Amino acid sequence: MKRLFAVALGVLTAIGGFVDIGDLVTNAQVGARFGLSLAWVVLVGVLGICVFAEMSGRVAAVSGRAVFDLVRERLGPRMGLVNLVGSMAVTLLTFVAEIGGVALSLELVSSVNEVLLVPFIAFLVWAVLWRARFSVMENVLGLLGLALIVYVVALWKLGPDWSHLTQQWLTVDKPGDETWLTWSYYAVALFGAALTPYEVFFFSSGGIEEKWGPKDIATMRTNVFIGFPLGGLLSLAIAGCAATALGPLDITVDSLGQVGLPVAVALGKIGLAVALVGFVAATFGAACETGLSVGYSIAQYFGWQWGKYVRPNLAARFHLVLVLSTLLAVGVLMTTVDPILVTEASVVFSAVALPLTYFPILVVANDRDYMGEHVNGRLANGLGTFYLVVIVVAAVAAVPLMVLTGMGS
Amino acid sequence: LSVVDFGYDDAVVKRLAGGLLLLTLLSATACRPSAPDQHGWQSSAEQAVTDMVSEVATSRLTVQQQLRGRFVGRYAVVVLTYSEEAAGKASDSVSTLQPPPSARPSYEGLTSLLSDATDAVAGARIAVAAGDDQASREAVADLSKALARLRTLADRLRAAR
Repeated sequence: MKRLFAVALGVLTAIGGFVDIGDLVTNAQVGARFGLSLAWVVLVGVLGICVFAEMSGRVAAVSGRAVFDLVRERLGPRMGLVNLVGSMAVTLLTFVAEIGGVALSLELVSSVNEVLLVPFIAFLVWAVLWRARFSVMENVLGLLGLALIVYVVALWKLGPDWSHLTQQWLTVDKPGDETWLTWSYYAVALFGAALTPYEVFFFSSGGIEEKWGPKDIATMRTNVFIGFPLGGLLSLAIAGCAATALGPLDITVDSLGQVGLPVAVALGKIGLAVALVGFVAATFGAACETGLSVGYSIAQYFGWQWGKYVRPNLAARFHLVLVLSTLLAVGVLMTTVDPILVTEASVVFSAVALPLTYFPILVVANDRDYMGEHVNGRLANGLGTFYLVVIVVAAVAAVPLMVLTGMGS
Repeated sequence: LSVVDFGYDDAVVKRLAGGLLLLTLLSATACRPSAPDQHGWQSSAEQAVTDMVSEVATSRLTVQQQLRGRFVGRYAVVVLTYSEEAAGKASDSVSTLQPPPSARPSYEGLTSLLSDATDAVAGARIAVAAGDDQASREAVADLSKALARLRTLADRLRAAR
């Protein structure tokens, strides 16, 4: 019974923790502009994050080592450092976007300018990273993130033309006034939003923190293969709501307030209040995960003590990285840069940075010296290779598409 | 006569010439006000009108829902404030350009329509922030009028592409 509860809790937190500011904004933008014609990208992205997370989780459980520990060993210190810098730049950008996302969510409730809220939110994030227990942080924020299920209810209540939505989805029916170039740009952005590198750093490092062993692989797989796809359903529901309530009115999403409008239309005050809880939990949870991911990755690369289960005085450099990255995020957001713009950039650059960590993990998951009997099987290798191609194509196309479309405008 | 006769290396001369060309190009494109050609103007005007349609439609939906009591706290005011800022940016993105000669006859009509739409969004924000239902209803009517005019213009711009 206790084990069943642990599995259920893991699945629920995986669902609730799946959506972050990138998913919220990108899915609403895409839904409002393209209907569900890009829904297949969410499916490809969700299966991709399942493949990547399962491999890195299995590697962590079997070898007891996290992503950047292995990246340095497999690629050598120099290439490993290039890899670390690229991946950390994107993760820091995501960290900035998530803290900005919390500020925007709280601004919607309080009407206090988001810039004024940023220092308090950053302090709270740091306090959670410093003091809160790993399991409490993960479970509480993950469960609160389940509030975003309100989008599924809102979609049902909005009563869309289901046959039209299905037709858009199945026939990749792009609206006539949009170009294929812009459509491709949003396909890459949506893929980057679903397959963010920090999710894997956090997932595998969390596995080490929670002392996973080979016996935990089954539980880990249950969380990944049930929790992540159900989390992906929330992304589709957000896109569906935007396609139904905003698209027909020619509303293009450029603020977080617009993302909540379909819920207000469908469910009124209570629904909107639940959605706001979901916004805060999803962005705050992701801020904690990205913050930790920065500390985890740098500490793993340099071989420092790391983790929330290690006493802070024994992992001083790890905690210093957490403090510095939080201060950096505050500094960036205090310049009054638009957090939505940072979010848009972060999902695109996530796509650019993905191969940096995906490839070494795929190599290690194939190495019998590390993995023993848990080495990649035929299915894992087939999917792994397919996604390597997809990830490389997305990474190569991302920046040219961003430039050519003026960030999708 | 070769440049080498003056004691200069070919590569240095090429670099200097390249630098000068780049400087000339930069100063030509960085002039204020920015003066796009017909294609650039058309594209900026279309983008500004599309953005404005989105902001006016967002504002109208927000005020309508506010009148039905469907928001918590100051949600509606925050959404309208963001729409007002974005509408101002859309308006400025065209009004600060130097229109090409062929676009001058339509320039005034376009900028005044964008300005009217921005005013309508600001009016909606003021009405909702003041909690004035009558003014909010009037704001919905103003926004609907602005939206209809903007949509007509958007169609015309698209047709002229």
